[in-house]
Amino acid sequence: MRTHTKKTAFDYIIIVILLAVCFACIYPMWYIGVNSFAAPEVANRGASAWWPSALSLDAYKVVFENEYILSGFKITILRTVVATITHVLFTSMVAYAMSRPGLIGKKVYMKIAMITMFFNGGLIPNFILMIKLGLYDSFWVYILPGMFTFYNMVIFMSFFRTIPESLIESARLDGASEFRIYWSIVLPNSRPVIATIGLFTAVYHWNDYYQGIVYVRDKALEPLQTILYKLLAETSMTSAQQQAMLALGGETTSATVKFAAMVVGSLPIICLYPFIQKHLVKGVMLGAIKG
Amino acid sequence: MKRYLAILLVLCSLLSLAACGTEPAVTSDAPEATDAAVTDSGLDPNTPAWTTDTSAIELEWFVGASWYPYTWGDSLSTQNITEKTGVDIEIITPTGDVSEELNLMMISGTLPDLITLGSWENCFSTLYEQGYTWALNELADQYDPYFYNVVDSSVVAWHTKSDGNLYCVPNDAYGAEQMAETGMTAAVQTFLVRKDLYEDMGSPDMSTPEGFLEALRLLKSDFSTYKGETITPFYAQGGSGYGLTDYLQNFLAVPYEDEDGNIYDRVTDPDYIEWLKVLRQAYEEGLIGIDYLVDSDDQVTEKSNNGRYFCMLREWSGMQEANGILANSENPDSYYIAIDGPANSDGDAPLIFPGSLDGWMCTFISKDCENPERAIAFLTYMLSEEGQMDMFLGVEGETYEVVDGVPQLTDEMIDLMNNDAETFATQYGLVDTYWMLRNSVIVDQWRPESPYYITEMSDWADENAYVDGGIYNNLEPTGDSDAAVAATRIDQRWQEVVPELITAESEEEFDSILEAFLADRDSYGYDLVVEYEQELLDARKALFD
Amino acid sequence: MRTQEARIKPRLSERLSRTGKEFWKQRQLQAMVWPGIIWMAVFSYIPLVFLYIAFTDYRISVPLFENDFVGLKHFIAFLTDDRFWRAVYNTLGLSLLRITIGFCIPIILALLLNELRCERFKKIVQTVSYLPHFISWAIFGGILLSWMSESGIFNQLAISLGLQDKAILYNGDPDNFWMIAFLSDTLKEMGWNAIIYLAAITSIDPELYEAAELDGAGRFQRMWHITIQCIRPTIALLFILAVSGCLSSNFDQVFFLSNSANMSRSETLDLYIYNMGIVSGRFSFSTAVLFFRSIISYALLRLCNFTSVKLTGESII
Repeated sequence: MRTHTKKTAFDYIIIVILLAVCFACIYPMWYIGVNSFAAPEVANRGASAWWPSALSLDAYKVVFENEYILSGFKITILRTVVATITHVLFTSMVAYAMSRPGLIGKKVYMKIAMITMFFNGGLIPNFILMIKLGLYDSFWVYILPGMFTFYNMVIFMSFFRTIPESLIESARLDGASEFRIYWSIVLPNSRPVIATIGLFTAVYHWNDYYQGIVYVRDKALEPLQTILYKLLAETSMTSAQQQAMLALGGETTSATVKFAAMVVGSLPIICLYPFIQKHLVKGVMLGAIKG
Repeated sequence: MKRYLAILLVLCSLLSLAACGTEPAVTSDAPEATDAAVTDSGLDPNTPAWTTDTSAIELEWFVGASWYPYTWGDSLSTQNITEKTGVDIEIITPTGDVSEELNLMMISGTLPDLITLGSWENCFSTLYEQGYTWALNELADQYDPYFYNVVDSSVVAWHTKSDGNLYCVPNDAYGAEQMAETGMTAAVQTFLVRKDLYEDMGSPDMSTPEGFLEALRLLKSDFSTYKGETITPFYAQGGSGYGLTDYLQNFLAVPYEDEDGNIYDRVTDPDYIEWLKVLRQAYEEGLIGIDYLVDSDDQVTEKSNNGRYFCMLREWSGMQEANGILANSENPDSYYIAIDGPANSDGDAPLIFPGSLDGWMCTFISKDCENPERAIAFLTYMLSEEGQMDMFLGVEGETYEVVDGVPQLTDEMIDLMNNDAETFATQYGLVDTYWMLRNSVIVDQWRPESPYYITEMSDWADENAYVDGGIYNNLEPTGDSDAAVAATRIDQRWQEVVPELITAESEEEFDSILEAFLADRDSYGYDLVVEYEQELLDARKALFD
Repeated sequence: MRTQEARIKPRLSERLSRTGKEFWKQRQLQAMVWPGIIWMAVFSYIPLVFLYIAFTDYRISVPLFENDFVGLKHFIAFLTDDRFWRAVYNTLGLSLLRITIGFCIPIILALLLNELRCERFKKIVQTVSYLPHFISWAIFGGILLSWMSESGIFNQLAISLGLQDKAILYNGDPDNFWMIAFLSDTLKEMGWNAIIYLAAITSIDPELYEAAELDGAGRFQRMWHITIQCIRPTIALLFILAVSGCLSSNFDQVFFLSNSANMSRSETLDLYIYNMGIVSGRFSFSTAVLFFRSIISYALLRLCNFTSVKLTGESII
């Protein structure tokens, strides 16, 4: 097998390139990570390239002193889990039906769906809609509007096309309903794409702060990222506001706190990836087909 | 069938959506139960309404500053105020964009009771023009005539809109007379240099083009690194949109109007153009860079905190933190001091911009407020001397005491304020913690003295303030009118042109870039802007004649 | 097909009833599509009514259809604005880099990862390369700006390597902006964008590689003829979606990296809408520009798909 062959020059070139990529990607994380621990008197003078000369946990204290941070974590986790599951199931179900040959109205449906990717009415009508639907200031505002996207639907469709037609046909001959086929043939054979879309969706929901700003007024419903965003509010401040704040003698949030907030906000979701990776390995699907 | 159902569903929703713009009372009629008799008989104009009704009530107060960190009810001052007036406050701050969030609240009819907002926000005028807030004079007439005793008549005149109504009250409003009287001007524009470096260079005069360039040449040749820091020669706050425009023009004493009272075109002023050319010259010789146009705020803070700038056109208020750090560092003389900056060819004194009657932020009472009578009474209380005292000084005997008839904070309080500002603000909530209705004219007499490294900057600004200049504040049109759109385009274009001017390779190139800009400016509708500003200025002058 | 149909020309009612029967036959499938259609009707189509404000002078206190109708006023306003066309130019320039070189990099990364034989190393590289995706632009932009400053690490590095003799303010020169935006975006997103290709690669039958190896195909040949060929549909799909998005840019990125000195190359369409519309609360104007962009983007998608049908006979979307 291939694993027996000796390493060639080509292998070494690949390794060198990938090591360079690794360094370029990890250095910003390192920079953020170590500087989030910098002591205030060091951080005042600027960030350190490799290692701050004095360390402290002050920045993390600022982040964790926020009284809503725990409820924020809960909401974010709950939201990410529920939204990812509903999105993947709902979008893949529509995608499966849309990918079947001979579906009446397919072209029209496709156009209807395509338009949703390019056109949107903007913030104000969406806001009014959420109020009318009773979703304003409700947990479900995180879930329902995000249940479907055209983009993910076509990605599902393109993967579903690679499932051998024979598998589906044989199930149909056994008298399985379409939903049954989708549920017990198509889904189990699509682990890589489910893992991928699931990851994309989970990361989106984990990182989204905007819905928490616009559609939620109850602080107990705010997700983590909204709370962290508030903590760092002046990054989005206009210069007029900033001048006003400085005129007051207010202190701008130091870079250290920004970095600490980022670490707190993204460490959990970063840890998700190794688990997802399990499903991105070769032969998963093939095994299922053969089995 | 399903298809029809779906279409039906869509149609229904469309209709409901179309019908549901909100329906605020666009006419600013007086509150319900308008009853002239009540005003005439029931209310004594010499008794503030907050003393007659102190039942418990909660009001929501929107503070239009996403960075505002404090809440109501945990600190001594707010507990005291709530106890006195019965009014408990829930402070709401925006998370993202202030205007965006207020727009949504207007649409959904969920505006908080009190709204404090900067006039630069684009929804500011929407609040009163489209009928979302009460006219305070109507509320005062009906519920609390004592209101007129606590607001300055010049402030009322300044903020009364063309329909004759007063919709909001400002904080930090300064009238020219008050400034002349007290010597406190709220002026912040200064020309700062690093003290030890400037003195080692022999304290050169930098007010003339030659002096300015010579100083920078000397800096480049002998002091490009100083006490271990690489020195950045020059900084202008707000880059091309502010530091090198209005700010520099003020130093050059460029007037706002000509002798006949016409709006003066400050951009084409010969002295101003000469100084831009000086900066171009300095850039060509490598004496300054354009880093101040490019650096992020974090980098500017980093450079300031390390004393890396030599000279700066910068508001002293933004340097308080840095100067504190520098004055307490191993080079205690490395902090920044204000000196005479660029001046025009006649050597006129600069026209440093002072505080004005505009104030900083303004407070409204919204029509979604269910108890406008309590809201106006609360406003009256906060604006009164008693309210200001409760807010700024706290409780007598506890946080302040009266010495020789002058109330002043106790030493422990001053100590805490200087050393642990966070605890001071959250536990006691005094001085500037709740600034939303602060009247600087009143509170400045109680303000503890600043340290030397602050006063060495602020004294210069106070001395050079152009106390009559408040009338020229915020002349630019705002909102989405044609004049405002033109002004925005011109302004944004100018911000791009300034870097081009400074990096131009020759004076000829400079001239042609400037000429092209002036042509662009006309095509964007400069005449509309001038017309608007002229009208506004004339109206303001009429107000004070 | 078409001519035959025309010749037969069944009566309308007949055709309808036939379609009806077919429809009933696949009612299970239709029942799976329709929840999606209803979802779109509610969450996507209802808000679209609001695009009407692009043709009015909208005021938020006035109900939608009672605003003054102004026709194409706002469209004319931006179509006659030089700065709008400059923004289009900048957006297209950035997009061109993104959908050519930028588009290939994640594919190459996925291919290289696929060639790695050490599973553990592969997993590490994969995880590490996806990390920068989680840094928000507010933070990443700030870090980059300090690295690009005159005393930043890029200048130190370039000077010590002898590439330049004095410090350069990289971000102050408009001509550098596209490159800065492109490189930083690539660094931040390449690992993330490679994931989808890695997922596609997993569905390739390993027997194909074994067969090719027996036929004496080299590694490059296997990469080209098997891996790339097998993930071609995914590549084509993502390419089309990328092309249709070529009038969009990453707002956060340009917002945090732009400044008054590089504005002539950094103001993209998104930033233009922000500067000219949103900052001054011009709802109608912003909506008009967005509406215009949506139409062009949609047309581009249809055009790409049409081209694909003409060239390869298959519709990608």
